Amino acid sequence: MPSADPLDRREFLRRATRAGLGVALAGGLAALSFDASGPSASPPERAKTGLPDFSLPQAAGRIAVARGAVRRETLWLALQALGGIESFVGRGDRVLIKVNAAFASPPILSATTHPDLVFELARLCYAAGAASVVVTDNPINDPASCFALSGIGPAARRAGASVVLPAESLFRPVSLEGARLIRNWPVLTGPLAGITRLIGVAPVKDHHRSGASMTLKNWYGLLGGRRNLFHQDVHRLIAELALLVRPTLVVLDGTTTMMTNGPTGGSLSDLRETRTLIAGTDPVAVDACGAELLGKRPEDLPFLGAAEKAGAGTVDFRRLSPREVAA
Amino acid sequence: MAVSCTASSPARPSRRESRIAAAILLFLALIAAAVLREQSRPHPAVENFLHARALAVGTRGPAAAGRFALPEGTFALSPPERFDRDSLSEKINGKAELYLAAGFVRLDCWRLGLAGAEDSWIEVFVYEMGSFENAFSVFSAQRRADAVGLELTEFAYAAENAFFFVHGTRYIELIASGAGEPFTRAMEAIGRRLIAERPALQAALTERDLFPSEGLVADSIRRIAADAFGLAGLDRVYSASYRTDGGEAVVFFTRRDHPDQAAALARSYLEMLRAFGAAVAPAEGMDGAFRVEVLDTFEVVFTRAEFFAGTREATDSGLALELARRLEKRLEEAGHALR
Repeated sequence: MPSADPLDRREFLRRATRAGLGVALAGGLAALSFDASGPSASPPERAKTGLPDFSLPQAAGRIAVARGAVRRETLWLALQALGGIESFVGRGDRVLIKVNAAFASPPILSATTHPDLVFELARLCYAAGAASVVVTDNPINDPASCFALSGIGPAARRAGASVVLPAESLFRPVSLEGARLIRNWPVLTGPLAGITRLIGVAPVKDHHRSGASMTLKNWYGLLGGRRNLFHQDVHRLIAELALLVRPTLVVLDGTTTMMTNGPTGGSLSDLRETRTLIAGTDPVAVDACGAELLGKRPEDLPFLGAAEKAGAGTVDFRRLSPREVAA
Repeated sequence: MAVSCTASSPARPSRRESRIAAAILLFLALIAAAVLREQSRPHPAVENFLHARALAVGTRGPAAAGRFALPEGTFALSPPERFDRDSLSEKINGKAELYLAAGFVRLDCWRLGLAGAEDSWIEVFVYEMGSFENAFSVFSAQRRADAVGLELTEFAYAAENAFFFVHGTRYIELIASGAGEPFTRAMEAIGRRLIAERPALQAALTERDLFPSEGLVADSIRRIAADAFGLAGLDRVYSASYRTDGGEAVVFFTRRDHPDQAAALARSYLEMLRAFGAAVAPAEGMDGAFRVEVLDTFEVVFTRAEFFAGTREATDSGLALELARRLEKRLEEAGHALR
């Protein structure tokens, strides 16, 4: 049997040197391309609270209560009492309207934001010079059905606004500093990209779990994932949402209030004509005022006190001297 | 000096060669270990992304509901849906707790359009509750004030735009997108079709007979599935409203498996009321009963065999005692029949 060529010492050292250089080169290249910090988990524009702050310091603490049965009129009146839509939306602003489109139910059940309000608000924003208006929500039911059957989608498009339905790519994890619940949780942040003004619009509803669903509970619609888990601690969650989301303006529609069997309702018997629309820049104050339409006191809704304690606003809305107007 | 590396004539490597070879092997091993270590620890950003993606898509896609032959004049507007205990809140959000506490099993939904009427539809909710009592619980808990009785089943009523009824172990809601005759006609047809397609044993609400009849407000009987009157553990409670010349009150009772359990519940209930500042004293003329005054209302509570019962929210203390005595008598009369 033939034997292999003998390997002399010189040859061995040459081959060993080559192998060593090869390994050193590979290791060196790896070391050069190694990113010790890794990709950033949070984009640099993220605000301290986890989302950008859309509130306007010069408009802080404003609240107006408009009485009347026609939403487009009461909205206009309430906004005028607050200084006009121009106080909140200016030329070139990109506006996001966060509606409550939670259910695929018709407008007459008042389980969702009324399409008349969506239309009028989008129209007013454009009239004030907004460059774009986007309407969005992450509904409980199928999003396309919710926006279509609630009338919100058609109303938004009629006013020239675009509707953004939630898609997987539009969620990213968000943590609220110091929070116990909103930590590394998927939030619908995609539609907020490039937005300069955020407006929340919600109906006044009884809620089986939280006692009431108004403008603060409306931010629940920005959460993704198995958010129903939060119902076990819903008051804390709403208080955390109040800190997470700092809107430019909120509009609370109590033209018709869902007094019982909320948040879905289902019967016209669950509703009462309360002919009130509340708008303001302090969502805690707006909700505290709206609680009265449900025959409740702020103490009956623990999330209000928790939100106030966390620094999201004031429960004592009367201290803000609400402007009362009537159609 | 030549070094032979053949199998037939193995030569012993020099000490220097051995050290170099060992150093190379050690270096390679270190690289492999570093790679393995980093692979086992994905960056938090990657973990967040994967977690968020899993969560964001985890709530969609309800299963298809069971079959349902549509009545004439209706058509399916969207695919049928089915929800279980884990997914119910994806359909009814915060109201899911009401159903879950009452023994909910599954929900089947259909949205039906009305032929020839654009933008007119009826949504059908069939809640399988596992028992007639559970179905009655959610039916009675949501009963609307201006309800009009229906003849579909023994427990059925209509609101302006909706039908609500119990059929066997199911609680059924038909909710229309509007009000008026075409909707009412269609809801009646859908209701009758559902009943015909899903035969169910006629269940009787035997507990109804335990309530004293005089002063009983019609259709006010409720079954509270859990945490009645704010007390954890106080479940399966029947209550009814009373209205008399002497004022208004609520009468309630729950039947436990053993008299000791009824007594323990009564103690817990009284402790809770005391914590709220209630004044508790023995009730005059009723052996073992307690009279309670709390927040300007009156209560009388007692236990009889397996029953924990009483009156509450009475506007007058005399009325609270009078109704409690009548309830006690009914429980004693009917108690053996229920055994």
